[in-house]
Amino acid sequence: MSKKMNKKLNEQMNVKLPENLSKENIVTMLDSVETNDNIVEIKRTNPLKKVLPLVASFVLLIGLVGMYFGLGMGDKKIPPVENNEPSQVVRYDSYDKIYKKFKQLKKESEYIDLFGGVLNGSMEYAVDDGADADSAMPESAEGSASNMSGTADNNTNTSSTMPSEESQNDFDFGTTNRQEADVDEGDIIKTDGKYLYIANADNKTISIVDVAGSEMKAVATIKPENKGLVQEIYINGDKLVTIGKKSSEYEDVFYGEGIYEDGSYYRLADTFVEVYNISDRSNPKLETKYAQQGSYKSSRMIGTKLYCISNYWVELYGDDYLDDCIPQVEINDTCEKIPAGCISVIEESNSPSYSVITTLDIANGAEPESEAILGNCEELYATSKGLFISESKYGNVTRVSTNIYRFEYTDTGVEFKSMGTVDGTINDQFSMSYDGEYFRIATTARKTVTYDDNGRATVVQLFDEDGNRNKEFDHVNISTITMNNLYILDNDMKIVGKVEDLAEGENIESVRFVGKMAYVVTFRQTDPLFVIDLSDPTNPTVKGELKIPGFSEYLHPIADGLLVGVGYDGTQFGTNGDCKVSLFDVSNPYEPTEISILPVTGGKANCYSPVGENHKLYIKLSDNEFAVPFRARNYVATDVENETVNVYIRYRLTGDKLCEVARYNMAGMYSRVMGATYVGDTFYVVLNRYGSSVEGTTYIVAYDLNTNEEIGRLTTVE
Amino acid sequence: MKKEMKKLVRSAIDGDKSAFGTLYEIYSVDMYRFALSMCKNSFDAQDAVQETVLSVFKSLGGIKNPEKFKSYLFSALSNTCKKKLATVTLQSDFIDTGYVDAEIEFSIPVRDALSKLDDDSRQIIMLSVVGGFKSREIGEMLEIPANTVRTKQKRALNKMREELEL
Repeated sequence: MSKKMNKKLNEQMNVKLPENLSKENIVTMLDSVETNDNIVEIKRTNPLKKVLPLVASFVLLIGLVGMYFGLGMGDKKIPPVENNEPSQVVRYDSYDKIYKKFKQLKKESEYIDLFGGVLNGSMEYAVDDGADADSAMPESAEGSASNMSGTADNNTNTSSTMPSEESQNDFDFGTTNRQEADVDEGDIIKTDGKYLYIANADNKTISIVDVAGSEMKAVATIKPENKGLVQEIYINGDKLVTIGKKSSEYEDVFYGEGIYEDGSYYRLADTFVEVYNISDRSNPKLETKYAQQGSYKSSRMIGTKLYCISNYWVELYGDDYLDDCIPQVEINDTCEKIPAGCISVIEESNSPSYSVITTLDIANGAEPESEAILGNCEELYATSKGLFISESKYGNVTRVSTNIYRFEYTDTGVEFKSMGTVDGTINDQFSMSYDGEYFRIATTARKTVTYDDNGRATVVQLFDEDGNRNKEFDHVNISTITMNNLYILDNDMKIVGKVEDLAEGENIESVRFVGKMAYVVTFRQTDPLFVIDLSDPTNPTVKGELKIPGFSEYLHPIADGLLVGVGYDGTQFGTNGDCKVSLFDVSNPYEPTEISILPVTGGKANCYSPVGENHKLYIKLSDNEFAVPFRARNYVATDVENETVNVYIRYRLTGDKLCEVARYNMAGMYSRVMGATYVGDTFYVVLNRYGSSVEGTTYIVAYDLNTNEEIGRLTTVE
Repeated sequence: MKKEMKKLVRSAIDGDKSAFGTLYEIYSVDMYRFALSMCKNSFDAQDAVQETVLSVFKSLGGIKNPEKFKSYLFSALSNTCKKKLATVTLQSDFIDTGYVDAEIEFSIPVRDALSKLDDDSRQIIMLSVVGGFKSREIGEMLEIPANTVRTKQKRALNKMREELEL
């Protein structure tokens, strides 16, 4: 029936493609763009000649002086929060009030449906650009090329020592590149120095590979009991934790989807966790399993505690929504509703979506404990001092804001403490930082502006507080423009300090909080570098600026006062298609300098680094060595024309100079780097060969870190 | 997905601009139709298509599964349109006057009926009618359960059916 209707509608929706969008025009437009992420002077052909997106980069250096209370910080207890239950967020002692809330949500949803077509301020959209971890899609297409950055390896230790020459070849084994040193993050590859643990690209199996001998040897394959797709693993002593998207109600798994009898599909709506005892590596035993409702979002592990977060969307349609409006956790095949006392409801929220946070102590076999908040988790940030969830909101039509929910750790789980809201949306988990006392967040906001005759933009308030449009601007040419902000919030999630309206017309590309400093890279045509002093948290001031060509997508503090940037090379006119690794001297925040620039192909080929999307691919080999993957086309001599090559480049910091040590070239055509690590003096790269007939093929390539030669290969999934 | 399409997508992912151009050509009209229905005016729609093509082209390297190229494309487009709706609708007020949809050849009753749907429903209808996506795929793109998609779609179609007396 609906097929017929679809066809009829389709017939009545004929359009003629405007010249603007002809294939020729689009290809011409693309000619000004380099492959895989490099923009060079985009010439867009708009009928109204809109302002072109500006291209280039600059870095804001933001000193959080005064926000920082010395090295003893790490031991300090979080000050007790007096107001545990801010007015906006409530906890009920019974489900009845939650039912009431959902009845109201249902009513609102019907209202919107009935009087639809009005984009009113209360409508909410996830402004995540589809970049969710649970999306099968690649990272968002719309503008927000996700960029990695983050806080220092150890944010409580500002006086990290300079790496010594001796440590140069002091290889042990690799750990996942984490945002916070004491908070582990899930990855597809883990190692304990003797074995590699790999979540294979088929998403169905985990391989344990013995690397103690001279040859890699697969000793066991784990196939999770739950049907679904394995996402990430953790290794903790003799425990292997796997987290996956759980599928149910159907047999066949086809690209992660099930098929109903009637031919329609079902999505992977839930999340499973399975803990295996691997004291006998060749015979892993399932020890604990549980599942939580909602699609998997992210996880962290602190000590032996796993924190797993899913987003659970309550189906408001139909009459049985009240049965579904309390998220459930399945322990040992028994489903339990999360107790009312563990559910926080934001009174003003009108989104029927929960973040479910389940804590599992993998050491003691205790039952997992769940906490839920009526709010959708978009980014997760965790330190050992607190856990934060961000959710973006449409305040009214023009302004997008971000809600942040702060959780504290308890002995057995987490507890919601406070909620705050800041203007703008964030780039990723690295846009947030917390030192136990203050929470910092860098955002990009869209502002409505008017232009004067000289082209100067002035921010205007288009709406009054009641959401009515200001008549004053009815006949004024207004436009929207991006501005960037950094906010500092206290434990009550109240803003205590801020820098606003930075870098007009640009978006934040990467952020890195290092101790009392924040480094913020934005993207623009000209490339100033702002230095902003936040010594007085209530009165931050711009101190200076510096120009750098190109821009960094990922920033990593390598030593005290030295920052590595992985990004795109360029000139004053924009990027040139090549990638580069830079070393920034930020020891003097007033005069940051780029002291080493190492282009990947010397400007000869188009290049791209997946580190911008996945910071876990940045491999720290020792205190002064690291490896970064790139993907380049046609830059090394091979027999194949236009051959795409994956290459891991190994860099070494000597004194204050960065130099290249080796290049590990891997076939690139239809192969992708999934992860890497090292054990002793062997570097391992996990690759996935893709293509219809070899979908899911996973193989490991080993390199000798002394000779830099390939010394072995092992295929874990054919 | 046909073998040739897969090949095209793979070539595009590996940086072949003409392969990407060909892919674009295949989907261009549908993309524009979708954008038109979402953005309500042709200026924003063209802008949205261009922006989407650019950003998809830039992030091709991130596409894990060539089979999902089309849904990736439309998912990106629908995100772009949503952003435009939220940020540009206001300007459209004056852009619309004197610039009203010169290229649109949607039948007027269909346009009217579409405009009476809320943005979410319209998006679902357009993804299904123009994009030809299944409810499962739409659910994945919009991150809502397929059931919700089906319910919304059914309601919206009923509503349109009444409007259009089909």
